Order: sequence, then C-alpha cells, then structure tokens
Amino acid sequence: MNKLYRGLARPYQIWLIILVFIPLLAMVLISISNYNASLSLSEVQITFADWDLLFQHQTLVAFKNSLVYASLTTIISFVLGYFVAYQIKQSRIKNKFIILTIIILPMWSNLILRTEGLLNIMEENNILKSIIGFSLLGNIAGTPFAVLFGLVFTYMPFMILPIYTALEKIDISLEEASQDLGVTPFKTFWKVIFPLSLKGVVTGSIMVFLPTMAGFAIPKILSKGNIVLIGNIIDQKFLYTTFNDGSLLAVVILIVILGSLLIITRFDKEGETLL
Amino acid sequence: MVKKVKKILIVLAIALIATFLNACQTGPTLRLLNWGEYLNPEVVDLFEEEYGIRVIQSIADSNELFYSKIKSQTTAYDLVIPSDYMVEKMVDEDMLIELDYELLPNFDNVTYMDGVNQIYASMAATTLTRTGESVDYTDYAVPYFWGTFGIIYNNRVDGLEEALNENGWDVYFDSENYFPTASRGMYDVAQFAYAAALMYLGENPNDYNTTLLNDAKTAIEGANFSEWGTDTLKRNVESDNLDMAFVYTGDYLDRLYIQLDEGRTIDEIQSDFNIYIPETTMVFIDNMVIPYTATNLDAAHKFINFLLNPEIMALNGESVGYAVTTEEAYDIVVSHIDDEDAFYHNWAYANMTYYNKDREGTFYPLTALPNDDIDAINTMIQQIRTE
Repeated sequence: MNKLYRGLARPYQIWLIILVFIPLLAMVLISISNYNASLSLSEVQITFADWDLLFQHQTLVAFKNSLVYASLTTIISFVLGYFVAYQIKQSRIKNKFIILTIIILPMWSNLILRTEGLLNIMEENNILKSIIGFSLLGNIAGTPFAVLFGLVFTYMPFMILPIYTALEKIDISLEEASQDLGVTPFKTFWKVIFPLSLKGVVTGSIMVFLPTMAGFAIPKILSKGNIVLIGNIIDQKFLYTTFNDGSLLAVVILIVILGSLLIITRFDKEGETLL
Repeated sequence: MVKKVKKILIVLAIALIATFLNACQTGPTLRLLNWGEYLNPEVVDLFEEEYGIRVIQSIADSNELFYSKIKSQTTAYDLVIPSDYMVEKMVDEDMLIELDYELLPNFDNVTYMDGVNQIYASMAATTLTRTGESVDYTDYAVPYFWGTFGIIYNNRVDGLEEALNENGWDVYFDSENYFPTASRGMYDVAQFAYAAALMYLGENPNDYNTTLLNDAKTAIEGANFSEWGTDTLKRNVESDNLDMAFVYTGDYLDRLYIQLDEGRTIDEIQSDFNIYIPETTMVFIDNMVIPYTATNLDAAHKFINFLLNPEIMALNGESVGYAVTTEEAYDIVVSHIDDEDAFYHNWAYANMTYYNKDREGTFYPLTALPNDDIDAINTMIQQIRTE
C-alpha cells in the first residue's frame, strides 16, 4: 500500500519538475543573458549588460511602490484582521465554520471581476449613484487610497484565517489560569493570548505580503495605470518579449520571497500554522 | 450494468463516426485564419453556395498569433487576415505569396478609398527606410477592413467640441492652455502614446530617434494623463468620468451602436459624447493575404475576389463595426441613409459621419519599430508614470 501511495505522488512531482523547477532555472539563466524574441538561440550569450535596469529611476520607484504598498497592506490587514479573528474565537456561535465561510465568500468570485466592480463604484458616476442617488466611496478611482483599499479588501481573509487558527489552538485553561492569578483581561490578552498567536500573525503577514509584493493586476486596475509596481514592469517586459529584463526583475522578487520564507521557518518550525 | 455500458459505447461510437464523416465531406475547402467575429456568416453561406468550397475558419486574437501559427506550419492556412505592420513583417520574411490579379476580375471594378491607398504608400515608405527595398504591398494584400483613431470626448464639457474642431491635437496635449481641469486618458500601449505625441508635434509617428523621444516625453507630460486604460477609456467618457481619450474610432461606434439599441437617438448620444478625428491621425488596416503554406490557391483567390464584390463587402460590413475599403462598397453602405429600418439608417449615418470617403487627411499606419526602440519608448512611458 505504501508503494502505491508513493506512486500516486509521482505525477505531481513530475509536474513540479517540468513546470516549476526547470522554468525557474531557465528564468535565472535568462536573467544573466541577452535573450529576447528578436534573437535566435545561437545569438544568445551570457552578459550583465542589461543589469543597469535595476538602478534605473522607474525600476527603483516601482520597487519602492511595491514595498510600500505591500507593507501598508500587511499592517492594515493585521490591525483590522486580528480583531476579526479574535471576535470569531470569542463568539458563542457554535458553528464557526459558517463565519469563516462568510469571510472567504468574496473569493468565490473572480478576482479581476471583483476589482473591476470595485473600480466602477470608485468612479464619480457609477452604478450606485444611478441606483441610490449618491456615490458611496466618492471619486477615489486612480488614487493611492483606492489601490490600498482594493489590496486590503482582497487580501484581508489571508490574514484572518491563520490568526484564527493560531488563536483557536490556545488552551482555554491558560487564559483561565491567568485570570485566576488576578491578571486583568487586558493584560491577559497582551501577556498570554497575543504572544501565543504570534505564529499566526507571521504566517498571515507573509501570505498577504508576498502576493501584494509580486502582484500587478489590482494596482493596475484601481490606479488606472497611474501607479507602477514592480509587477507591472515585469508584465510589460514579458509582453514586449524582453525576456532577460523581465527575468532579472522576477529573480530579484524571488530573492525577496525566499527571504520572507526564511523568516517564516524561523518562527514556525513545524509549519503548523500554515494550515 | 454491462448492458448499459455497452449502449453508451455504441452511442459514442456512432457520434464519433458521424464527426469523422462530417469532417471528410468531399469537395474543396478553404482554410481561413481570422479574427473572432470578423466575418459575416451570411457571406460564408453565399460563398459556399456559389463556389461549392467549404470555408473552415480558425480564430486567433493577435497578429503575433497569426504569425506563429503560419510559421509553425501545423495547419496549412490558405488565407489569413493580419494587420498592416504584420503584413510588412511577413513580406519581409518571405511568408506571403504574390497575388495573381488575373484571378481577381472584380478588382478592375473597384477603387480603394483614399485612406487605404495612403496606408499602403506609408507602409512602402517605412519599409524603404528600414530595409532599402521598395515593396508594393498591393502585390500581396487586398484590404479587408480599415479604421481610424480619434479623440473621444465628453460633450457635456462646455466648449470642448468647438475647441477640438478648431485646434485639434493641441486641445488634447496642451493641458496648460486648454481645459486645464479636463481629465485625459490614453491607451495603455506605449507606442500609441508616442505616435500620438509625434502627430501633435507635426512629426511622422513612425520615425524614431532620441530627440523625438524626448520631445514626445515632454508632450505626454504636458497632457497630464489621469488614466492609462483600454476598453475602460470609452466607457468612462460615456459615463462622464473622463473628458478626452485617444481611441479607435471603432471604440466609439461600438458604444454608439449599443446606445442606439437601447433606444436613444443619435443626437442625444452625440450631445453626451462624440469622437473627433484629427486631420492627421493613426489608422490600421486588416488585409487578406495568402501565406506560403497555402494549398488551395484557387479557393483563396476566389474568396478574395468574392469579397472585392462591393455588394458582398457591404454585406460583410453589416456585422463588423469598421470601415469598408472600396468606394463602391462605401456607396452601397451610405445608400441606406433613407432606409426605414433603424439599423440600416444608423449604420449608413455612422459611416457617413465617421468614415466618410471624402475626408481629407493624412493617415499613418503604425510600423513595427525595432525591439530596442520599443523598449526605449516603453521605458519613457514608465518614467512618466513613476515621476
């Protein structure tokens, strides 16, 4: 039986090798070459000539934008999301599964569709205005606030779920013991509950930070093309078949992601909060 | 249980055989590689009826896909409908077969619209500068549809229409002196922005050097664009969220026809939003060409000849929102102006107003600039957007 199970794991392993590891390797190689669509393979050579791209004004600004938006999204999601998770944990409703389902409900519809819909109600004249007579969000389409709003709206569930899991795992007797020993509820929260839920916070932060750092669709739509993130530049480089430049930037993001994963393994040795 | 499975298998087998039989229907075929929803099914029916040649249509949604599908030779297409710059590239790489005009008798009875002739002349000129070879593109291509670009504008803004008609490009690009509070949008395609800026500066949009690049940058910064979009541009002007944007004329007609369908009149719609087509503007053209992989040259020529028939070209135009390419077909389209059927009347009106054959102007199809130039233009636009 054990053998059969190992056999069943094979297809995905092969899939990983063909569609993840080999392309990854190719990406790293392309990033140190001059490869683009107008060259035939025999003309491709190893060169660092295009690496000045990393220090060009627009690349640096895009990197800064990505970092700022990813950090702000993570912080806001954490502050707002933590208390949602805490409320769910504290709530007396028996079937907490239902509450969690409601939280991930927005993810059941397509991301692009949701974002386009959000953009529409951020315009001055929108569908809400024609139905109820006034615009709920005002005219914020195209502003940095709109982008931040969209990112937090989209990624908040990824923060709530791991924090909730971590909170749920905390033994209720620890809280009771703390109160028995005369600690105030506020202090109990800060000295007992919060430190124990930290693993969930770290996992949640990574799960919010990574996609916002590498993503490009939400900022592109909600900023109406006015805010350029590093993902947008990579998107354009590949669209116009300048593969080496696109790969180079993608590799840099990869390094950022690897760094983040190192952090997660430091905090979470068993990887248990990821579930 | 076993019986049930058997039954299902038999049904499946019959279905499979039927499919094969259908595919093996005897008689000649024409393998056409086309854009989606770009050929009136009635035209196909008429063609199949008249010549007994079956049309097998494949769809691709970009010129680059056309190119790679022909190059890969997995299917031997007899006829393809790529745009201007891709025809240049395909001729460059010897991928097209010269047309045999003996097999196109309808050609003698039609005159291409002035804009179409200008496009072929411009393509020949850019090819000459690039490769030093003079190519007559009519040797390879017969025009299918064409269209202009223009500035779609919000007519609820007082005086904008008059200003555009009087000062053209200046109103769109010089935001300091014209309508400083108006919002302006641009297609999220760097070469479009660059070309538009050069036309505003009175240059040829297909030229490239660093001086022009810097001038274009200054011009684009002066326009202070608040939106870089695609299909969102026309919808935002329509819904009063944007005041001007440089788009395909077909983008405007698309929204116009939709609003007409909803029962509004042309006057009502035009007083909300309209399109201004500058005297010097960008154009595109899609062409019927025969790739070197073609196996049925006879059918391909017959199809081209069939579409050169003005009646057929006009019929084809009914289902596609772009401009017909011959004056004779245009005359048939606009002859519907007094038609009682609202659709035909509106269609004729739209063609007369926005694709008029007597419109004087300079039309530039965009050429395929070298990769390095495109990269520099993309970077220039990114710089503006990250300032």
